[in-house]
Amino acid sequence: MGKELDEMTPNSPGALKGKDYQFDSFADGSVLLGKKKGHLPPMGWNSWNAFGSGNTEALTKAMADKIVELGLDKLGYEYVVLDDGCYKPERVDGKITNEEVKFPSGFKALSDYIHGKGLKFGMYNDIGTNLCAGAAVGTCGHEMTDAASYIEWGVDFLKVDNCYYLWDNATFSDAANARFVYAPLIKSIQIKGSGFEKSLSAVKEGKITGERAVKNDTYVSYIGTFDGTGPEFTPVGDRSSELVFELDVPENGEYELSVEYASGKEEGIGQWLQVAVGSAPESALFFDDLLPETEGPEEFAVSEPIKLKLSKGKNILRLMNHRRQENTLNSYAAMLEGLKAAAPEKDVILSVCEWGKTQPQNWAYKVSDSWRILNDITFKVGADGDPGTGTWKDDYTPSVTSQYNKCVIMDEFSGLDKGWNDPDMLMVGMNGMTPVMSRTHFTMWAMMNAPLMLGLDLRRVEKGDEFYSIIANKDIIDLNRDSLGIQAKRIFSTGIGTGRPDQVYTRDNERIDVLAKPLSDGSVALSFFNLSEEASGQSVSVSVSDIVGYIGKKMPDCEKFSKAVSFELKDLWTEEVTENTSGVFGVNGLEGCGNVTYKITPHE
Amino acid sequence: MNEINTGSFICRLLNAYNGSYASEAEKLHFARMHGFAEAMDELSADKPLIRSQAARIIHEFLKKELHEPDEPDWGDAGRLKDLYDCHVCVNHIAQVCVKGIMSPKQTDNGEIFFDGKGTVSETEADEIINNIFILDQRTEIYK
Repeated sequence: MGKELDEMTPNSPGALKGKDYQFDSFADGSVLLGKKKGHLPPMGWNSWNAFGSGNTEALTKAMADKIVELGLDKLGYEYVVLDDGCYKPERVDGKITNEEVKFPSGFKALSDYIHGKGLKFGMYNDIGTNLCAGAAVGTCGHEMTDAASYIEWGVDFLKVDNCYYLWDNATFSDAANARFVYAPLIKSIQIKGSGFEKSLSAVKEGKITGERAVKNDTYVSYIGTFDGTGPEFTPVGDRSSELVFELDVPENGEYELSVEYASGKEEGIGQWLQVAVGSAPESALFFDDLLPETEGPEEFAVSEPIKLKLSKGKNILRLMNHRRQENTLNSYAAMLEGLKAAAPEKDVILSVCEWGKTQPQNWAYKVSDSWRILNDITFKVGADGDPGTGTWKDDYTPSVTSQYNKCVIMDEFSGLDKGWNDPDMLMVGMNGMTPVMSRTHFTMWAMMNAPLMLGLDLRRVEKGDEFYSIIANKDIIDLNRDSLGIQAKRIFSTGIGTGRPDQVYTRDNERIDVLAKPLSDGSVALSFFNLSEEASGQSVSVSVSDIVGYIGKKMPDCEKFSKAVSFELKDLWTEEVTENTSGVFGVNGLEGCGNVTYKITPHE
Repeated sequence: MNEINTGSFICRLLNAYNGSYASEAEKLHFARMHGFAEAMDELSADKPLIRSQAARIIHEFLKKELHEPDEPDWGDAGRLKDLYDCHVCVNHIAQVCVKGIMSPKQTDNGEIFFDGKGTVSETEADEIINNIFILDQRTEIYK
């Protein structure tokens, strides 16, 4: 059941397609391949949390029926997404096909059924050679063929995973793929040309950017990008490290660079080097390839000369490896390219699911509509007759608060012109999730402009019951559907000392967070979240000036809000409406895992 | 080590379960219809059974055929160094370990790991199947 390599599988990451695919273009805001923007976060149902690999055609149809019966389609739930477990384990005549026991009628028939209900149809694949559950039908090398199949079946949404990926050490991938995503250990460089010659020590004269790289006694390691799959590190700031030298040369012209290096195939020590001169957007890339292997990480060698062009005076020379991000972008772009080739006018929603490994918040907007930010929210998915299990907190990623704690400080990466941070599918309805937890979980996701993908067996839901009251709360859903498309910002927290509450990364759940979200009608949504499982008696409040200080520039009429003499406060869970003339909004205590969320509307 | 292949493992499991005299193909079909084997298990019937695959088959068999509920607390199985290496295998691996059906391995410095990519030997397969049906034989250590 290892990865299957066929004649279509590439044997190297290859050259990038152009500067638009390079790291130095990530911050320019431009999309690739005409990717359409302006979508609000997708809403719907996905099979994975509900049924895992055990999803079937019959179950999927039943879910579509229930979405309509419950009126969830009128609230915005539109995508019905088949996750992993629906394909035959191998291609047939080079194409992906339905697993015949679970999906006997085929995908086109199912798609027609779902479209017939007025809903949209989503599917799943993977940029590697195999899907996560093992089927050898990953899109790697088959993007054009698979895209044509998806268009033929009428797919409106595609979630694309990252297992068995060839160019990184992703799930089930070869750990030796680290050679592609890290630069070698660098000990020194030598520059020659125009009568000029200089040797520089990496440790003494080189500068490290970011927090990743490490200066050891004689060499620099970990030149590359943080793996963001786990919850250990913040997503904000420089997530990659380069080794940078300032060079002062006498003449414009061509020079030769030699690098003293040692290669490896393990975390922090790779074999792929990129050499650039200058900073974005004016940089020029002069080398982007594997260096010859050395005997091992302890055996240093000197590279063949690399030709560079330098300008008279000061130059910034960058030794780096951004291929972790660039290769992954390239692979997702290949899928987008296939979809565009098969149906140039069709706007398929693309959901990047590489678990935050390659810091997708930096680049995924170029090719997709949302990007996962971490490993999975639950590993105890359900089955027919088993709701699965969700948890409120965990040391790793499978919990509401693990996902929330990272997503809540990622608001500046999202927007209608970009796409959405994806803290994974909802766990409302799973064992382990109390009604209080579920209400707060749903509110958090709505406020953070996360995709609202239900993950429960909808046959357990009836109009008016506890589950329904949560997933059908129109006031909360409207926050997520607001046309301004601005993710809420954390403007205060009892658990953060100094530092900006919208940027500090904390995983200590003994705190109350306050989030503010500007809305298109000039109102503000304000949420108070108790992350602790214990009730808190603490009074927490924020003022109009606190709110305006953080989100004023994003509000449609900040002045009106600032100068209002009174406000209507609507509690979006109790529906209680009150008047506020103090301009201070707060709570006097919160139950464990609880939330209070207001819509605050200014009066003249 | 004599590796057991996927088909043989499923056959042995079903032999111990209901003493069936059906052919291997029929047993694999039964397993698939009852939801504790996937299409890829039938396809890889003559290939070595890998440990993460075994964990999935066993866990699904426990739930679907024996109606044995999951252990809510993973206990020491939560410490497996490679537990999260395979997203879709996590709970399968945790359950077969915490129930004492499959044993983790240990590194030289005492860290426990599952070795999801490793294969299952014939001897191991027999131990696993005994552990499934004879509760007293399940390994205490990781309960």
